[in-house]
Amino acid sequence: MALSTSKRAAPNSAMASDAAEDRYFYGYRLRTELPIASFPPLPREGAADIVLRHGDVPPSLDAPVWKSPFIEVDTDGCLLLKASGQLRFLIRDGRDVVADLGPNCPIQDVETFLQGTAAGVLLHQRGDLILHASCVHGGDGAVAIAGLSGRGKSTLAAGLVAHGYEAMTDDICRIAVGDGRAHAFPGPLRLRLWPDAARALSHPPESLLAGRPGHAKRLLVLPPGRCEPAPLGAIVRLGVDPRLKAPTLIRLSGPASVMPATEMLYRARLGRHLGRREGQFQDLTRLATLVPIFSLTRTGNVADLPDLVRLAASALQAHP
Amino acid sequence: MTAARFGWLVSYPKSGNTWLRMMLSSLQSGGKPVDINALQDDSSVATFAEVDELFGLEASELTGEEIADLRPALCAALAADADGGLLLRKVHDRFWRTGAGEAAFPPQISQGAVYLVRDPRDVAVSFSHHRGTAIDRTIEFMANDGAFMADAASGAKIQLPQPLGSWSGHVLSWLDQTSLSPLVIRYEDMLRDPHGLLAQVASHLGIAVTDAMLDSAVAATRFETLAGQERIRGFRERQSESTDVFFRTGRAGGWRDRLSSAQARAIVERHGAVMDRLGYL
Repeated sequence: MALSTSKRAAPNSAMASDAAEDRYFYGYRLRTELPIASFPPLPREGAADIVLRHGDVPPSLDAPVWKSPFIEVDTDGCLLLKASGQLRFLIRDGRDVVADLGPNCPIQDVETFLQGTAAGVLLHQRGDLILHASCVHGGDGAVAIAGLSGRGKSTLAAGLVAHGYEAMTDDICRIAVGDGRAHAFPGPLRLRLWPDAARALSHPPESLLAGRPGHAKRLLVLPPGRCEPAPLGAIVRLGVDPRLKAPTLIRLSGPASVMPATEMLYRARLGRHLGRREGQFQDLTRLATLVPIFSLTRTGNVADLPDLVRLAASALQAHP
Repeated sequence: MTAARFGWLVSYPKSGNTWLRMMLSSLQSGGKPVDINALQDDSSVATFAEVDELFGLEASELTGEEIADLRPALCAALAADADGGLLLRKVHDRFWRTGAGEAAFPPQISQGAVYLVRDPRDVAVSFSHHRGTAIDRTIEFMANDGAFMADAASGAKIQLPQPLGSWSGHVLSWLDQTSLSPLVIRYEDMLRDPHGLLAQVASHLGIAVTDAMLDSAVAATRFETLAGQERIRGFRERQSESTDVFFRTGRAGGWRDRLSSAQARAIVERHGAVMDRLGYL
């Protein structure tokens, strides 16, 4: 790994200060020096899978193999995440995260990007299958709600929670496939909602926790739930077609059920730059042989939420 | 690999831009029929999902200011990603610059821009149906210098926010800027002579055409054809709150039957100087 400055954090990921606390992070034990309330607490014990600590992070990497305004990846798969002018993360080996906070960096920014891109990077580096999905758990299993940005994943997840389902994760859903079954792992205790979605769910936006300063999204805070994976019973791919009078649910089959894969995988392009080339697509194809996949199409009108909740629930009940 | 260059199809909403895009789509296929629901999603510069994938960060967690500042880098990334050719984008932005003074439509990767304009009195009628709001509300919206399309302040959006401004401000921002020289076309003239105007657009954007291709593209995108497709299968770009079909009348001067004299007067009072400049008074 080549960094452009000599100022860098020590690479010993096993070390974290005594003040660090443990959190359940997509199935891994995260030991964090930063107060991250958005993940369930764990009693501190044993070795951590991932360590998050304060440190200096360089503003750029030498000779990155991929670069965007926010991200640089070097030849070793070490990733620099420039989330804002006040916040940089250096993430490597799927286990070591250094956060460099400017003096005016709000903790909400740290939480936002830690449960977003930084989590996705860590999971890609670890070789996990990640769906771009929110996920809830019912009595019989979990249903993952997959789809591109702006399709209403978090809103539908919150709608299902209002009907007794337990929220598991928002936007990033780690999946493990083995022994002929697929399991989904819990993520943050937050669902990120736009104000109109919050209102449709009878949560006045001002009653919810604010997201990033200057941003309209609000946070629906959930009580600590399970800290263990749940069998995945169904995947619902969420789309929008304003021509529809009412939402529709269709069971998909064959290779088309996971195409285009970039609409189901979390940042497939980023994954490729982190060494997940064919692997994530092969894992997704395997997943499709284990779990029924549905297309759920919205009308685009937020008033169709009760119908969407009913249809998503029926997808889970239809299994096996 | 040569980076693609943008062909910007610009207008205030409901000014004939969708029709022009469909004519160009037919033209690029040599004059073939157009399926109004099968066009590539090229409304606005990009979607939030495209930014997620191109830049690796969740764009929906960025503030409006952060998204605006990204615009030149986003255009460059889209052009580099497109593997050459002409990248047509139908946009409603006024001409604007980032906080650092960079043009939202970078001239160095732009083939050219076409600015389509329509009598704001007809726009007010059409836009009211499209938005599902009263005409008086639309007239107020068209006078608002801070107006946005797809403003992400309240709810999830597919497309990135597009700063509109007032109708007059929109027109002037494009006519009076100097970094791109748009071909300015009046919707009313395109109705009168679609073949001639489409030829001008093709020439401006560097699209090689023949007379036969122009004839076919115009015939394939006649108002009755597009409206007929919408009647049978609907149109994806029609908003769920609209109070009428998307392809509604396709004619000029309909405002005379639809606006009260007070409403028509309010539009002329607010936008008269620009209307006069474009020959609408």
